[in-house]
Amino acid sequence: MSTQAEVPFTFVLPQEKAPKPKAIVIAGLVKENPTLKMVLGCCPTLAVTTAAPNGLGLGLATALVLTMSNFVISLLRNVIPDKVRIPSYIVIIAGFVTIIMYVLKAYFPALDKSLGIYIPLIVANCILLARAEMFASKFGPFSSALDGLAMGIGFTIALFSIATVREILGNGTWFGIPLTPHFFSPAVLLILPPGGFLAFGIVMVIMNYLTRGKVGGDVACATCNPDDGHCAPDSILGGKK
Amino acid sequence: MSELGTIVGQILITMLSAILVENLVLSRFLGMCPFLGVTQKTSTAAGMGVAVAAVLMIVAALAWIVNVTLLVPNNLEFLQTMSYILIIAAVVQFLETVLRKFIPPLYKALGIYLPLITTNCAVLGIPLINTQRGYDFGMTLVYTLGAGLGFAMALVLFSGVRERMAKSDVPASLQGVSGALFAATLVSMSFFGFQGLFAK
Amino acid sequence: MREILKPALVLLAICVAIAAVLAVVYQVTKPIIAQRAADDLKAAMHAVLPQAESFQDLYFDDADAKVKAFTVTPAQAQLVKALPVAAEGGIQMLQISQGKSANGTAVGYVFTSLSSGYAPDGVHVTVGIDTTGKITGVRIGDQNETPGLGSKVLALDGPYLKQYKNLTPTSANGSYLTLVKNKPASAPPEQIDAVTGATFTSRAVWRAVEASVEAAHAEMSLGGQS
Repeated sequence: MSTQAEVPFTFVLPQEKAPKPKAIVIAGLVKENPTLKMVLGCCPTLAVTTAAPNGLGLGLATALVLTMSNFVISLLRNVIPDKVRIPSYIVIIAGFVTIIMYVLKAYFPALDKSLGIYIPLIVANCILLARAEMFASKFGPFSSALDGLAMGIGFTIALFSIATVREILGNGTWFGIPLTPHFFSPAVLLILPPGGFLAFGIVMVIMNYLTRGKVGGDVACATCNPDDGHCAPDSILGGKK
Repeated sequence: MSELGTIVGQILITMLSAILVENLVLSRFLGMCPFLGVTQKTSTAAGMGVAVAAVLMIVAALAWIVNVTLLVPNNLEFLQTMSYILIIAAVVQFLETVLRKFIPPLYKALGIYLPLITTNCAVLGIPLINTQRGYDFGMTLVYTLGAGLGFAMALVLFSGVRERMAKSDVPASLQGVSGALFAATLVSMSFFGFQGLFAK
Repeated sequence: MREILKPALVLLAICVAIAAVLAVVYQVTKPIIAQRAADDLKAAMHAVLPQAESFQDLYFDDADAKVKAFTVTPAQAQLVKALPVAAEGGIQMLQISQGKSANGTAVGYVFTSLSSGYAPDGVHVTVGIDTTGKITGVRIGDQNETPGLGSKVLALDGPYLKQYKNLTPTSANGSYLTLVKNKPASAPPEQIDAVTGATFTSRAVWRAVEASVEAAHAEMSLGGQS
């Protein structure tokens, strides 16, 4: 960690100015959409998208945590020593996640029950650490909060769309309201575990086709090293030697 | 004697169900990222699988001790998530330093995977599940071992599928993650067959 | 020295600050969460035993008495508690409550049990039985069954749970109700038709009802109508 940390991150050129708000929003929603373009945070994308309210709920919870953690991390970016950067970010993120968890338990118990363990697992969602490292540790608190919100909404849109498709085709309902006529028997497979892979696979194919290229390639979050925000060397990926 | 039999049976059922029925990756969707990210080659998949399984055991044991001796007696359950993720970060950092210094060959083999484990939701998910289910120390170890083995097995099996896919002529839109997801659908479906294994 | 101390202190300060905030959030939300859980439980009990106005827990603190009323032995009960996937007889009785009418007379019992089905965490089944032994309602609480398949069984007003309502089962050959597949129309109502494709979940619920009926009979023959 110590040797890598001395290498400045190369994604942002040595300019200090944060991107314009419009650019931040477009990046979060479309250009760098965390789920569809960067393929980050795939666990919740597959696990909670069995019903539209779950997808929406977890998306919004993540967006809220991301906005707040980005804001606070940015405020503290000059106070936190480089050496304990990652643990500090993790603790701040875990704090906000726990707050959201108790608020959900108290005021939205049904949502809390259906999301279960995936609420505390927001902590391990790589989107949060990635945004802290790539954005909040470099730019001001308001830009960072906006970045968190935009990325969070982008994540929510992806989750919500996948969940909508899965719920309608797999269960014949949307938000629990029966939609399909009686002669249509829903394909239960779509809300079972294999259906998660299938639905996400179809979405990725469409994204690939639309962008005429590999979306995110094979660089999923597993390959993003939280220690330095770099992606793992090609030798791990097994691509080039 | 029959008591011993019950205990052994209980251990076996817990372990097998953690490996097959509740497979971390294929039915609980935990640890998706390494599952999609580092399964292009069987050797790397095996390395990642072993690294995660090893870290899981240490983390789950420490998390149990911290939870039972520090958090629960002092009504500090609200610090669970935070302490667990700190344990993970500390264990990863510690292993990296120790392996690099004292066992360089092992570090060469597994070291590159270690930093990636901090944000692996399987490693955080398993201690949380153990706590939720109220497992005692022994059951925590048994379930965690099963979960880690299941994770490693899923990664290795899936890397086999992907190595074959790499040699086939796949349409451009299906290369990379999207194609992998379709393959994962089939692997997951075959694991779904284990679902009724222990139900009576 | 300073180089090591400063980062450690900053990290510690962040941890303490976050922990303090969490402590406040926890204290504020704790009573709300507890109240909600109590309300949910009362609503679930009222739904299966509508004639009761208030509920009193029986045997709640006495683990031995809880087990005695059932064919499940203490060893089995212990096993069931720890097993992720239950063995045969995988019923864990969580709570038995006596329902009382407005003037304080006992009108029946509510049994809440955890039954293991298809999924490892099982199904919570709440069964209401009145003092004549009639099943007044069966309801499913927390469940982690497979979405879709198992959920068919769990629909509150669904055909599966309706089968139990208003039955007054009596013991025959050691069991009260039987579970069958593809029940013929001529079969007696004591035969419960399993949902096709969700046999395990159907069976988990049936076993919980069976255990509850058994417990109710044991309780009533012990003169528990007071």
